[in-house]
Amino acid sequence: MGRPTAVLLSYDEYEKLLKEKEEKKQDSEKQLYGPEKEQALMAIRDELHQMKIRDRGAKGDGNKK
Amino acid sequence: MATKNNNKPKPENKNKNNKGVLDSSALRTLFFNEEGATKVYKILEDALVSTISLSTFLDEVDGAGGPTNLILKHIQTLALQFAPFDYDQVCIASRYSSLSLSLECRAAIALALSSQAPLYTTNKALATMDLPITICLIH
Repeated sequence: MGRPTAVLLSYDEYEKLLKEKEEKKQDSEKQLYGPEKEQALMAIRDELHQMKIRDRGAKGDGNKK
Repeated sequence: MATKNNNKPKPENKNKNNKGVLDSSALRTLFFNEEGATKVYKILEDALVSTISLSTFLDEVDGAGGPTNLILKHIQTLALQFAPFDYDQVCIASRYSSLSLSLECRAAIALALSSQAPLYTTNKALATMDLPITICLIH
């Protein structure tokens, strides 16, 4: 019980599975809002990403000393 | 610690159309694009955020040296619905002061209760408490 089981798939089945997975991924990332809002969200994420990088850099420098 | 059932405040049913209330951890998940961000993203347009939660999130950004003014400007473009921490919510939040929760956490609970909307959070402890609201764990 709970052991993973291996399943042998044909190439067609494997392709179908990949396609379904890709469609599911695209669906979850579908843009729901207007371009202005999407851009604002991306801008926030970008700023915070840059902040994290700077923060890590500063902490890294601090450790070296 | 859990609240007793007979002390449960009655929901006020002000905003039936709201899909959920986002606390500061939900904002963090969305804006830092952490695990579960899609869940928050999907309800963003109909979500309510307490001004206390926004302030807590901005404090965190400021503490890490982030550009809070710029972030605020972009948040304004997102047109999220912010709810002030009003007198009614102060009264509700004070009922949970014995639960060792932060003011922000209690403000989010009070907003969820007064708007009859589920609370989206990453705070797993909230899911174990006997609260008269639905807790949606983001991850």
